[in-house]
Amino acid sequence: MSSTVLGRYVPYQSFIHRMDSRAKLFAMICLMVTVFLKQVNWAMTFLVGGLFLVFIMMLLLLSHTKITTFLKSLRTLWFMAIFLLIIYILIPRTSDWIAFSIGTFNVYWDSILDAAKILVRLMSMIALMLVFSASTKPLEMSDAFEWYMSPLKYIGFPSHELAMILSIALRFIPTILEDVHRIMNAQASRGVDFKHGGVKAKVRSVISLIVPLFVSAFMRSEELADAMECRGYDPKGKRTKYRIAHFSWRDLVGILVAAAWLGLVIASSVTHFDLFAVFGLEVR
Amino acid sequence: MALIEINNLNFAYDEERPTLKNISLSIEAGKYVALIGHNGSGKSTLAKIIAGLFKKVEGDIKIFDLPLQKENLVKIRSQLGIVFQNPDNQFVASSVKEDIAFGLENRAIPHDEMDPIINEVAEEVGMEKFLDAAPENLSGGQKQRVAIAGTLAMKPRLLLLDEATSMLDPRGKKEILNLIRKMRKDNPELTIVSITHDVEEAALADEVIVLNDGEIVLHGTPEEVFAHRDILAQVRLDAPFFDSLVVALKAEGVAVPDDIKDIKALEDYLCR
Ligand SMILES: Nc1ncnc2c1ncn2[C@@H]1O[C@H](COP(=O)(O)OP(=O)(O)O)[C@@H](O)[C@H]1O
Ligand SMILES: [Mg+2]
Repeated sequence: MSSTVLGRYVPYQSFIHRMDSRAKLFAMICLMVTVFLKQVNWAMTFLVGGLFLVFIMMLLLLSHTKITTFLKSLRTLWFMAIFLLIIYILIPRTSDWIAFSIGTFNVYWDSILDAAKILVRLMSMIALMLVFSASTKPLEMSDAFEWYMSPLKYIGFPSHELAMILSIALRFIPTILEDVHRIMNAQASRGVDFKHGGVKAKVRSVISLIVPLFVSAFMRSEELADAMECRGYDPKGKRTKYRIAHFSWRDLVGILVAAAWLGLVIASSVTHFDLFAVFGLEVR
Repeated sequence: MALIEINNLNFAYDEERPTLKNISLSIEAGKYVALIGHNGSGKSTLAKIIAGLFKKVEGDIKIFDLPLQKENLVKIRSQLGIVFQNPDNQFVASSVKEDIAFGLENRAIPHDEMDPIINEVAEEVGMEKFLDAAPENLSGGQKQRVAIAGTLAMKPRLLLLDEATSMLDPRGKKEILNLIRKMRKDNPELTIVSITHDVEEAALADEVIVLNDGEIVLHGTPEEVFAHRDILAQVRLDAPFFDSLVVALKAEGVAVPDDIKDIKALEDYLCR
């Protein structure tokens, strides 16, 4: 699998890797919220956003995600940046902060900075997701999901079943991908061309892949269900858990850091705090 | 005491075509029984019936002296392990130790008791170095050994192997056969019913049952069963190489004594 936007697990034993996935998820969500809080002026917005970006870069380093992975996942953002910029420039505004004029059309700094703000937010989010997915095994994610959903059990929400489905789906991704390769090779040897041809040929070749893939997946799931039943699996029965995540000092540190940052950003947002004014600087 | 006691079992997936017809058999505790028959003869169906996976089964079935009924199912399954053909489709978890733990979780075994059991059975099947490995990084034979470890963790009295070696390469096959041999030595009380295509493997068993189109056509020791070359040919099975050789030698007028049971002894006898 090539690199995806969401990134992949990087086996390593860093501080972030060793955090409990539930605590990590909580900390991540705290951090994400800060990205969307409004600051009093542009300077503060970019100060907070910039500090945060630096902080996440440090997390990326800490979690041993390669910076190139991050840059790769940013590639798709360039297109978006230009698109955003054009949209924001075209939105009519009333402002006296003109960057430059093209004929009678004024381009305002506000438009450019708005686009830049969104971009910084997106970069922060992507970097955060990368940190999370690089340091958390998919299975731990499904454990965290089950834990957060477990209170809903009492109103009949099948949180255990969903987590089991999720973890089995994760377990079978490599197996199904192998199926895809096998079927593609088999069909290619029968003359199906997956690379060339028009829309009609493409559709036909995709169908020749999908149908056997489904057949195989259904057979697998039937056999898996039999095997699980024979091994005594009863989703409603009493079970114990082998994988138990332990809350450690790391989780406490992680949550405290995230919560402190969240607190600071909220405070500065609601009090319209302006650090630059404290130093007597006049900024926009 | 018979561990499996089946009388007049009839079963059909659809009414028109019976899959199993009038099956009666009895398997003693501690025996290694090979169940052979060509594709579609109903071997897997029989194994699944014994594991209690079907509801509408006609006939008298007793496993561990318990009638195969809904209320006994949990008790029966807790003493029975089954390993299926496809190594991928029974690997539930994302790592070896978690997969072995799956059965323990289902039995609500306390967490602290799990690791010792996992380590013990992993060692028994020779997978102790791969406890953290993911299924996609294991060979088919290794996955099947994990599946066997998963059943051993439950301390079963009965192990059903449904073509557990048929998707493996020769090396994986050998690994599993050696493991079966070792398990039988370590635990003589364990009853093994092995469904197989491999007549050479069946020749190693205490008893062989031949199934054809849902009916038992032969049941006896390997020597007895493989002597019936005519019936085996009818049901499209070959006798193992050794048995065929003995029959052929006898046909040529070579008097092979009955106490010669393997190819080495035969060789010694002929070269004498
Ligand atoms: N789930 C099913 N539904 C309907 N028919 C089935 C099913 N599974 C097996 N059969 C049929 O039952 C017969 C016996 O199958 P099976 O027990 O799998 O044979 P074996 O394991 O000896 O190859 C076959 O004719 C097969 O087509
Ligand atoms: Mg079968």
